Amino acid sequence: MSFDFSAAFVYWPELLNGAINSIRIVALAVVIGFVLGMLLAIAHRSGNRLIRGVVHVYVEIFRTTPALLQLMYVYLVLPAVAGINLGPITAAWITLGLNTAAFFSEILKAGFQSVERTQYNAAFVLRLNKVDTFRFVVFPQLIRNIFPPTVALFITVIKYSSLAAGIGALELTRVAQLIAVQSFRLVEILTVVAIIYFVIAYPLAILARAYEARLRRGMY
Amino acid sequence: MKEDARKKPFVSLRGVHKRFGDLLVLRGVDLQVAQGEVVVLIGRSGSGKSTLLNCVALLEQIEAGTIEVDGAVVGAGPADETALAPKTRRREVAAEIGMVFQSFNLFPHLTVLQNITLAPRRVRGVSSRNAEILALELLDRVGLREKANEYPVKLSGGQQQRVAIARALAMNPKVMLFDEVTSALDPELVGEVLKVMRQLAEEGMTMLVVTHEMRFAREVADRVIFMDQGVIVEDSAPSRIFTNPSTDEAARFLRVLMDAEAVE
Amino acid sequence: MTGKLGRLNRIAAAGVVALGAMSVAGIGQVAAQEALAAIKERGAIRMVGVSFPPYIVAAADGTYSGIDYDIVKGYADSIGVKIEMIPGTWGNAIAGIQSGKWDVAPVFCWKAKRTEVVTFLESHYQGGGVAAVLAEEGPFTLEELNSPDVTFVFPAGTWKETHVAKYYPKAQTKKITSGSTAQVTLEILSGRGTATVLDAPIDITKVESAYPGKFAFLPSKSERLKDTTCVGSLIVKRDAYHLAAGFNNYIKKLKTEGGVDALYDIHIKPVLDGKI
Repeated sequence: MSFDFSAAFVYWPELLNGAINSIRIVALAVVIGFVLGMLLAIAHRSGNRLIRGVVHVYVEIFRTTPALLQLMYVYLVLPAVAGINLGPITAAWITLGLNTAAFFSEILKAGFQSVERTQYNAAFVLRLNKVDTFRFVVFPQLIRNIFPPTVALFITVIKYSSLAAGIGALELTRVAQLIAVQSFRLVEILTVVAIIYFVIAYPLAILARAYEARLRRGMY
Repeated sequence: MKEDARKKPFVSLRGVHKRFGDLLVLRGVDLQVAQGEVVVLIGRSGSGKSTLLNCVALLEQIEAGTIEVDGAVVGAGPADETALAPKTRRREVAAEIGMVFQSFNLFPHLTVLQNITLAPRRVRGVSSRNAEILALELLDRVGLREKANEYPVKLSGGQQQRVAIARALAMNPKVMLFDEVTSALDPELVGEVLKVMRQLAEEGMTMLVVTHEMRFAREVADRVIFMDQGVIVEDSAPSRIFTNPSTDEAARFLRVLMDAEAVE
Repeated sequence: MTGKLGRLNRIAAAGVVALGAMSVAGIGQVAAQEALAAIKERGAIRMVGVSFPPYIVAAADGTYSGIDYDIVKGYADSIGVKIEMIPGTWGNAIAGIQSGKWDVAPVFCWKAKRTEVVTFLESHYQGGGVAAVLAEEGPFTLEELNSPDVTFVFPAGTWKETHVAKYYPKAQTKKITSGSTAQVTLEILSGRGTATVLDAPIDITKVESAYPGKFAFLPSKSERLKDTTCVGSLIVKRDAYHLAAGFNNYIKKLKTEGGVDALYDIHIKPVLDGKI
């Protein structure tokens, strides 16, 4: 079997556009996910049982159902049950944002738990107030603890964004499928697209590694 | 009350009760500590001695009784809430109480120097420069000046504990609480920490020390207190308690400890 | 504490009620309005954007063309509305009609089961197949292909599935979900299947141009099996009576006036001539 990568070059404007849409979906999903995830984590820490219950149900729904199903639900079912009719890209970043929020709030929860109680005691007997305790003692440790899983989550969102092809969003994977259907160059197109995903996600992986190396040297 | 303030001890606990859920950990503790006095608390685990220190450090809210430090009631059970000093005064006095823990509890993300300067800068409003000068002096005192820019993880347990003491001292406390500060250390590292504490005692620091180091108790303490099941059972001079304890519980406890020390 | 909880409960209750009201209003709206009236009010007929060249061609730049696209566009023009393409996939094209995400989907083969949820419009597509095998493996006869030693690969849920069941009942089958012809031919090229069914003449032409000489076609390149396995047409919602009636009239008229043939010429000829 012979390979001909020219199709990937002929279609580069479409591939570029698909990549931009993918990045747009990821960027918006990550922003929503981090902001909403933070709010969820804070709400969960409020101690109010009703609020904790609501947060718990939210998180578990998004963690235990497939992301593709969530996408199809928002895109296809919401018009029927709630009259909410979203375009595929909008549906994709909103759904992935809500999904990311659930996972990020769990990362934050674990992050808070990983800062030991004794650290709060040490700050307390030095009579640091609550704001300073958070800012100078808890927060830097929290960041250290949540950084690796957060980067992993970010990379997961990049990969999840390809699920938006399932609702017809014109992102990288969908573009690849369409080009493949027309050009019959499935192998070449999918190879090129895999490389594009790699190029988008790899810097994050490098970042995570560099940070871990820093930690190993005993620094923050 | 105010008239006899001068005669009052520096730390004074009256009828202190503390419970964790159904467990009554402190059942009416009365204790007076004069300025410059070194009081060692001993007793089995679960006797309430560490909880007592935590209550004095205001880490725990007590259920009944009062805790007075430097003439201000800083802790009180709900029934005695009216006795509490005004909030600003309580905050002031709280900053005079320093505490060192069994597990050091240094901030792992900060250097030794940053660990020590954080509270003076943020709580006392000392300038960074002055806080650093002070911190380096304290590090000199505990013999760790060359470690100023290391992170805690690079230090031995004994070094970490000495930094923790320096960190507490940086707030210029009037009373220091030591909660089993050598228990987590390898035996060969215990001495360097006790040396620093001994030095502090000689300088006249008021100290409440929970420890199993009987030699330290014998040589440094002004009074040794034996606690059992949430109450003070015996309170006497070390010379007396080690040779002629007045209760059977204390006698039994000390015998076990002495035997262990003899073996070592 | 109870006061705080009470207030939160009230807020939560209000939220639930509001959401419920929204849903009811939403459903009411969808059900109450007839599809055609809704299209006119919206000023656009919405078609699901899938890809099945040359009937519906989704370009990678997000634009659409093709025979079905032109038919829907022509109908939209005739009732004075625009055509709006809503991206989707073959897998959820019918679901989207049911949920009101779009009004019309391009060519679907008539199946009794499908008529329970959608209405098939006037047919303009007759699918029939030829078998394709690797040329180097051949030559085969049609009888030889109907054997347990042969594995037919085809896109799941298409008329090709029915076709294989009818003509090659003894062969093994391998169904590719949402598979395109490109994907299916790749399966055979990589040795994971023996044969597939191609739509004559479009598929044959495309496979020939992508892999010249690689495939052999049975009965032959230019001759397909006589039976029509798929009678295909555009589909709309089952209860969209007015829409279906008007649309059918339009397609019938187009057919009698030679408009559909013209569209086939426009879209299929270039493929057959090797221009696409």
